Parts: sequence; structure tokens; C-alpha cells
Amino acid sequence: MNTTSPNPTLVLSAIYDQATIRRRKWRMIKDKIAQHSMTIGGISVIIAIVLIFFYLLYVVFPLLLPATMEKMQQFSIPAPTAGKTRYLAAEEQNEVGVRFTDQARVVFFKLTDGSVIAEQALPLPAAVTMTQLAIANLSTGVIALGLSDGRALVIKQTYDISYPNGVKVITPGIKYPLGEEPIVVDKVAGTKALRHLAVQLGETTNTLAAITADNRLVLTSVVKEISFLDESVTLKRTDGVLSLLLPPSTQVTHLLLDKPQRFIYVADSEGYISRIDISDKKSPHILERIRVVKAAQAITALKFLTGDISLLVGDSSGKITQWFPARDANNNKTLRQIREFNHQTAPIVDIAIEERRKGFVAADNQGQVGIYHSTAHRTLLVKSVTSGIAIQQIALTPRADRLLVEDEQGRIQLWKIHNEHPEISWSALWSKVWYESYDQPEYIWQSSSASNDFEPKFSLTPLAFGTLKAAFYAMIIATPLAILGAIYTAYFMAAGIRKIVKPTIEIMAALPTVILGFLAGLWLAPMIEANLPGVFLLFLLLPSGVLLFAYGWNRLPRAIRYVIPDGWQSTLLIPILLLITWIAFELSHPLEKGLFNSNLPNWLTTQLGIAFDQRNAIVVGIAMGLAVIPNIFSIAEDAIFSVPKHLTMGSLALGATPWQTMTRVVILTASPGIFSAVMIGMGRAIGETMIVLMATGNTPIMDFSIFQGLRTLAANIAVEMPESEVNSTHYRILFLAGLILFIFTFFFNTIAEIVRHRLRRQYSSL
Amino acid sequence: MMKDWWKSGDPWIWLTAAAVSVNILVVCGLLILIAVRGLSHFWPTAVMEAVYTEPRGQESRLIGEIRDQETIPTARLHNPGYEITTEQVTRYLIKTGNRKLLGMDFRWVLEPQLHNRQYPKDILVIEQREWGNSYGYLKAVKQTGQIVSEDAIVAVTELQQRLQRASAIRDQIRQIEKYEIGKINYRLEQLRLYQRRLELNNLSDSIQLAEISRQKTALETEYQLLGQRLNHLKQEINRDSLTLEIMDGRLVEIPVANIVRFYYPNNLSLPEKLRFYTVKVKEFLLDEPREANTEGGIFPAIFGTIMMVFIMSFMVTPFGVIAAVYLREYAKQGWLTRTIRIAVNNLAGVPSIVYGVFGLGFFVYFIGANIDKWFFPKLYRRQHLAPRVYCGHR
Repeated sequence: MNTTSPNPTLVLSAIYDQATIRRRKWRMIKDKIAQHSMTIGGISVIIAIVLIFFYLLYVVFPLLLPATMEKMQQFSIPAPTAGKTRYLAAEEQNEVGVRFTDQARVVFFKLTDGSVIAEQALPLPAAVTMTQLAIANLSTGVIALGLSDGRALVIKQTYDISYPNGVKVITPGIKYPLGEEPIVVDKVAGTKALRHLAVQLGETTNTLAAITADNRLVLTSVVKEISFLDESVTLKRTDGVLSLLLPPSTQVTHLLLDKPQRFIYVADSEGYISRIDISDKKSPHILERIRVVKAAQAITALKFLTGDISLLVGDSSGKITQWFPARDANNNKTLRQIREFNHQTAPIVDIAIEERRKGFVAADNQGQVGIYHSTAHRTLLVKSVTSGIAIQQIALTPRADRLLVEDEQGRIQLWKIHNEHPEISWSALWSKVWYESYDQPEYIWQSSSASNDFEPKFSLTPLAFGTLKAAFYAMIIATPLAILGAIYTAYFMAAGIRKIVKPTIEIMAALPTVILGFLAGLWLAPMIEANLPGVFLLFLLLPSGVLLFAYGWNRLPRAIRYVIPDGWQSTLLIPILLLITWIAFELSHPLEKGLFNSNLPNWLTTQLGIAFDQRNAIVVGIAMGLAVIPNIFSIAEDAIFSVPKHLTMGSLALGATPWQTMTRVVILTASPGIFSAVMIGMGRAIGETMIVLMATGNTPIMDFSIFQGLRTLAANIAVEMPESEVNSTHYRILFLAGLILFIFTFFFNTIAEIVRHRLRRQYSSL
Repeated sequence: MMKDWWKSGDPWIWLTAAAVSVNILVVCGLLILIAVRGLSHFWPTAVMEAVYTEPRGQESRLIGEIRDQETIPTARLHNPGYEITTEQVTRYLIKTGNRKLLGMDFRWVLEPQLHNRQYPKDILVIEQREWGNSYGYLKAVKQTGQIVSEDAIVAVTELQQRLQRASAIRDQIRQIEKYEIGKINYRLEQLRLYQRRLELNNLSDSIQLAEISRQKTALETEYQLLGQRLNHLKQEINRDSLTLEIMDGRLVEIPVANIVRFYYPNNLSLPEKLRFYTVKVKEFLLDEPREANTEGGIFPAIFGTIMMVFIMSFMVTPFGVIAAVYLREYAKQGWLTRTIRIAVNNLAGVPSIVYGVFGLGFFVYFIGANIDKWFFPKLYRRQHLAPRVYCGHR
């Protein structure tokens, strides 16, 4: 193009020249590509952020779902000629069901269609019929039959799984752990039928308990003794009798014997339960007889919750109550009502217990079943399953995912239950919960144990408390140091030193917290324990010593004072501080010897009753305080330093002292910035993991004492996540803890960010 | 005067100044603490020989490094077994080494019971591959059980040469174990996979199978040859040993193959100490750990850290830059960008454990558990076919 003599047509033709147009087009395309890829990139980052939040939510969400159940099958009772069902059960794999009939026959059937796999008569002596049936506990499959001649036969269901030709085969069968010969239970009355029967087989002790027609309790206990010398087995039988002393015309309705074979519970027709101590099998004695239902109501169902500590009482009004022995105000152990479930209205006919959780299913005589969980005090579902026909029996499979319901018209229904996380409710997570064997409701985190009977204690309160406690003590240390430091650095310090001091303090933010935690746990904690009086003295001496020195300095002649220019005070103070620290630690041991019996931690425990942990809140406060100081310092310093100079100059020119200018002008203007600094520090202290993990002892207790340890949400995740089962309730609760932390810190940081945005706009208007 | 000073606000300024000083002291103190504690670990400590009176009165010889020392009230010693009249007593933590022979590496001894402390120049420290350090006097160097040298000075040069020989053999063993046998294993595995592929596609014919088995036998012969060489080398490396007199007077045989290094700690000049220090630091940074991570180096951990940082930067940096450019240049400034900016700033404050939980749950348990299902649905289904169920009765 000719630039010396501009020719409009030439220029125009150059602009509309084919090559130029093509190039321009290409440029536009490139621009579009860049724009789109940038947009996609930007948005994908936001998607990533949202993904984290929603993934956490996605894992936590099933905790909130109620239980559901759906009908799978319905069939008429298999082998109806065998008699009426006395006991209904199913095995682990949800494939074989079993019913024990009143004619002492056993019918195994397929759960899929109700077809009979096997039917078998139990070997009773001639001319003897079965009168009673007692279940030991669900996981062993042991059952006792009470016979019309006062004897009892103990049987055990077995389900053997084998894989001939790679195909799973379940072979059900019956065994006789105490022999096929029935055992005489009631030695006195001889051949009279037993009214009620209970059985427990233990590793060495087996106990049978029965109620006779004249309301006596008879106990038969067989102890297996293995000789140390020749390992020969001798069986020792002990018998005990106890008269229940019930009022006339009162009948026993239920009899329960617990797994450790220590207590017997007898329910009677007046609505009372008697608790009987049988730890001495020869002489059982009644501990108490207590009314468990309202007047004019009767006990219609009585079962142990798994673990055999709690009793579940179903009454004729459809209410289910949970009871276990706990100490009352007078320190006596009595049976106490722990909680009640009030969601059914017809008399409860049967309660089925979950084998591996503290849950149960109750059925009433109007065809409704309710799914409950005791610890969480949660009613997960109440559903009518037989459209009004009374239910006779229900049975849960060992995994508690199938429910068998037999109604009065002789039909069996198979229901599938989805009930993954019944343990969780708002009250289980955040309120005091009355756990089994505790004397009052408490906040406890104790997530797992090796035993199936264990009641998981999922209270997040002690963890949230620990998190806040750690953050509180850290902030007590960090806030004054950081903010006062920021004030001096930004406003009073000589510019030359400020350039060194600021980055030095900010270095600490780059120090991995695992190092701080490691030092806190292994060096600081023992050091503080050994020099506890010195540490307290230090907190006292530091401010007073500095003030004393400042006053002394002020009284010095000017000639000396003017050697050190303004803004160098902090340098001057360094040797003074070192001296004070040295004095405090030197005084520590003499002080301890003079006042505290030469061991302050011990003295605290014995004299004041304050427990002392080596890894305590002081250690966490100092260590985490150090981790937080640079964050707060940096932001607060920036905020103070960027207060416009014309404001401070004006204030000084009007005659205000530097300190007055500081408090009345600078801090006021910078206060939002300082606030946001504290918020960000707080957010960091709440989410900090490694320091609290290594320096606190991780004891989930609720105690605000500075001498006690704690456990935070973050440390709890770190400790328990590796061993939690995927998608279990425990796993999801740990995710919930993560979500809570996420929301906590997001909350604090958002406040800080919004305040900072405001501040920036405010400065720009000044 | 006092009142005026108070009113001027000066004391407050001093207090703020003190806060800065405390911060600086803490930062520097922390760094110095870490540096001193960490870096002093490798400096060769003098090894002391002393006579120690045991609680029951007999005297014994003690050889070891003083690792720690503290002064405690006598009352804190429960049943020390001595008459101690002073109120305070100093005690030393002594690393006596010879864990295999004495049963413990460290012991606490009371200062008043320690006599005749000296630092003989000919105490030898042997760093072993197993069982920690050994302290004592070099008595002899042996080859296949025959004494080669008993003279202290000659023995040291002998030992030096034999140590080099052993380490050369060790390198060869390592070369064979790690690379050559590894190569054979890799090729065997490739053959197995090839055979499996043929089977799955129903392509296997006798010629190919014969070829595979021929290659297999060839590899196995090669493997056996290597095994023989390995056995020979292992015999060779165990040829030499030395005799050491340890603190209770016992004479101990230590195979040269078990020695990492040996030195006379009380006879080191400053340059030698510095050299020793550098070697130890180098070992710490560049070697693999030994003895369940209590000895040796931390190279794998350093490697892992750097690797992680590299992968992270590689994957995340483009995202971060693109998002920043987008926010600044392309997005319309408004409430949306402001929200995004706050959210992004917030993410920096979200505790790392939350990211950890997310990573474990999402990448390991969610994607990790489903990736086979997504990419190999056929194979996946075949594996998860439920077996048919029969019920029988006994």
C-alpha cells in the first residue's frame, strides 16, 4: 500500500482485498475459539467447585432418606398340615425360610415361592406334645421346645453352604446341642407342662428357665468344666427355684433370659415386669417388680433389643417402650423407661429384632408394621401390609433386608426392606442420647467396635465442640499478637525494618502445619508439662515486663533515648523479651517446688481435682495460634497500611497524639479489614487438621478446661476415614463432618471476603 | 509524670512493638529449633568410655554416645537403687548401640555413678545394615574365618578395601535382582498374556503354543543361570568379617557385608568430621530407608512429594490460568463474576481434609469402583453373574 499519496480507492480496495478479508476472517475465528475455550475453562473451574460440594452432599444424602419396603412375594403357608406357626425365621442369604409349628414339626421353604424344601418332625417322646417354644438369640439359631411332661428339648437350626460344581447350595438342618433326649427342667412338679420357657447357650454355661403352672420360676443351668489335667469334660448341673409371689389370678405372659445369663425378666398380665437376678443359679432373687404400661393396658409383646440389655415392651395401645436398668437419683439400679415410640395404634402382636443393629420392626393386629431404630429414636416407616387383617408373626432376616409377615388368614408375605441408615437422626447427631448401660443421656462419639451388639454412638456434638474449643484457644493466642503486631508494623515501625519484618512473619504461613504439629506434640507438649508454672509466668511477665521497661526507658535521659530513633522499639525489645522468658523459665522450678509440691500438673489433679493431659488445649492454642498468626497479620497489616495518609496527617495536624490517631482514626477506618482478617484466621483454625491431630490426644470429650485434650471434626476424619467401610453409616457421617467443615469455613471466608470488598470500595471513595 | 506517660498512649505503642518482637522471635526461634535439631543429628558425636556402678554395686564398662541429659529432682527417681543425697540429680541418655547383643540401644545412667570418663581414640563405630550401630574396639579382620590382620592400623586399611569389595558385589546382586530377573519376569508375563489373548479369541493352535512353551523354557533356563550367579555372589559377599570387642568385653563377629560404614569418632579432625557430615546428609537425602525407616535416607518420600507437586501443577495450572483470564477478560463483570471470585478465594480457605475426603470418595471409591463397568461392560458383567442357587436337604 502506498502511504505517501493516500488514494482512497486504493485503501478501500486494500481493506476489501481478498487476502485481507481472509486474514480478518481467520482472526475472528481465532478470537472466537479463544473466547469459547476461555469460557469453557472458566466455567469448568466453577463446575469443579460445585462438584465438590454436591459430591459431599450426594454421599451424605442417603442418611436423610426414610426406610421403604416393597412386597416381593405372597404365598399361602407352606405345608399347612404341619400345624400352626409358632416361630418363623429365615437365614442369612435370604433364600430359605423356616417355620416351627405347634405340632413340633419343622418346615423349611423357599422364600422365592413358598415351596417346601423339607419337612421334619422333631423327635419327641411318645405321647408327649409340645407346649412352648423359646428362642435363645437370633444369631445362634438356638430354640427350646417346652414339652407337656415338663421337659424341654433344645434344638439348633443350621444352614450349611457348599459349592458343588461352583453352584451355591444351602442345606438346612436341625442339630441337638444338648442331645436328642429332652431335659427335665422342673424337678419338683415332675410331669406338669411348663407355661413359659427361655433358653441361652453360652460357651461354658447353658441355662434353661421356665415358669410353671403355679407361677414358680425354675432354673436349670449346666456348666461345662474342662479339666486342666486330661481335658476331660464334666457337666455340672445346678437347679434353682423361685416363687414369683404374683397376686392371685395374675398370669405370666412373657419370660426372657439374657445372653450373659445374669438376668431374667418376667412380664405378667397386670402390666408389670419383674427383674430377677440369676447370677447365682441356685438362689435367684427378685430385684424389682415395676409397672411398664399404663393402667388398663397390657403387655402384648416383649423382646430384647440386640445385645440383650434393653427390653422392648409393646402394649395393647400400640405403643412400644424401651427399658433398661440404669442408676436413678438414689444410685439404685432400676428398670427405667428410656424412650417410647408412639406411631402405631393397635395392640402390638410381635416385635422382630434386627440382629446387627439397634433397630426393630413391630407388627400390630390391624395389619400395620412399623420400622424403628432405638438409639436414633427414629420411626422410619409405618405401613399397612395386610389391609387390615391381623398379623400373627413377623420375622426379619439376619441382614434385616427382608421381612416375613404371616397373617391370620394363613398367608405369608415377603417384603424387601431398604433401610440403610436408620442410626442417624437429628437427635442422634446433635442432642444428648441415652445410650444402653449409661445412667443418663450424654454426648458421646464412639463410632465402632468389633462386636455386633455394640451400640454406635454418633454424636457430632463433642467433635464440633472440640473444633470450636481448639479454634477458640488458637484465636486467644493469635488475635492479640497478630493484630497488635500488625498495628505496629503498619503504622509505627520504621519503613526500613518493616520491609524485613513483614515477609519474615509471613514465612510462617509457608511452613507445613505437619511440622508445627510434630513439634507441638513431641517437643512443646512435654516442655510445657515440665515447665507449667514458667509458661503461666511468661504470660504474666511478658506484658508487665515490657511496660516496666518502657517506663524505665521513658525516664532515661534524652541523650540516650535519642540514640534509638522512633520506630525501632521492637528491635530494642528483643533482648528484653529473651531476658523475661529466661527469667520465667528459671523461676519455674523454684516456684513449682515452693508452691505446688514440686509438680504442678500433679498438684492440679490432687488439690484442685483438675485432670491434666500432656497434650492439652494450651499446646494446641500455642501451636495453632502460630499457624494462624501470619494469615491474620498479613491481612490486618495490609488493611491498616492502606488507610489513606491524608486522614492520619490531618488528625496529627489537629494535635492528636499518634496513639489517639491510631485508635480514633486508623483502626476505625481499617476495622472491616481487621475483622475479615480475624474471620479468615478463624476459618483456618477450624479446618486445621495436622496440628490438632498430633497435639491434642484426640479424646472426644466435652470439657472446656485448658488442661484437657479434645478431638476436632477434621482430626476425626483423618483418624477414622481409613478404616471406615465404604458407604456405611460411619463413612457417610465422616463425609457429613467434611461437609460441615466445608460449610463452616465457607461461611467464615465469605463474610471476610464480602467485608473486604466493601472496604476496598470505601477506600477508593476516600 | 507516670500519669502523663500513661495518657500519651506510649505504653500501648510499646505493647504493640512487643507483639511484633514476639512474632519475630517465635518465627526465628522455630526455624532455628528445627534447623538445630535436624541438622545436628548427623554430626559425629564423640563416643565415651566410662566405668558405671550398677545399682547392686558391681562395676561395668560403658561405651556409647551421650544423646541427652537432664537434671531432675531426686524424688522423681522411683527406687533408683542408690543413696543419693543431693536434691537434684543429673542423668544421661546413652546410646550404647549393639542392640542385637545387649538387647537395647539406649539407657539412662545417673551422673554420680559414672567414673573415669574418657574418649579413647581407637573406639570404632560401625554402622550396620541391620541391628543399628555397634561400638567397640577392632580386634581383627578375617577372611573366611582366617585372621588376616590384627594390627590396628593395617586392619583399618584392610577393612576399607574389603568394604569396597563387598559394596561392589552388593551392587552386582542388586543389578541382577532388580533389573535382570525383573526383565525375565516381564517377558514371562508378556508370554502369559499373549497366550491368554489367543485363548480368549480361540486362535490358539499347536504351533503357536509350542513356540510359547519353547520361549518359556528358554527364559526359565536363563532364570536358573541368574539364580546360580546370585548364589555365588552371596557366598562371595559373606567372605570377610571383623572381630569387635564390645563394652562388656565380649568378642563379636560382624560380617563385612553387614557394614554400611565405620569410623573412629574420637579421632576425626574437623575436615574429616565435615566430610562425614556431608556424606551422612547426602545419604539422608538420596538413599532409600533401611531398618523400617529408622536408618538410611528419605529419597522415596522426597521423590513422592516432588512427583505429586509436578503432577498437580501440570494438571491444575492451565485450569487456574484459564479461569483467571476468563474472569478478568471475557466474563461480563457483574454479580456473577463477583460471586465466582468470592467462591474461588474461599476455596483457598477450605480445609485440606475436605479435599482429601472428596478425593478418596470421588476418585477412589466412585470413579475407581466404576471405571471397569464403564470401559469394559462385557467383562464386568461376566464377572458379576450371580451363580445359580440350589437348595437341597440333608
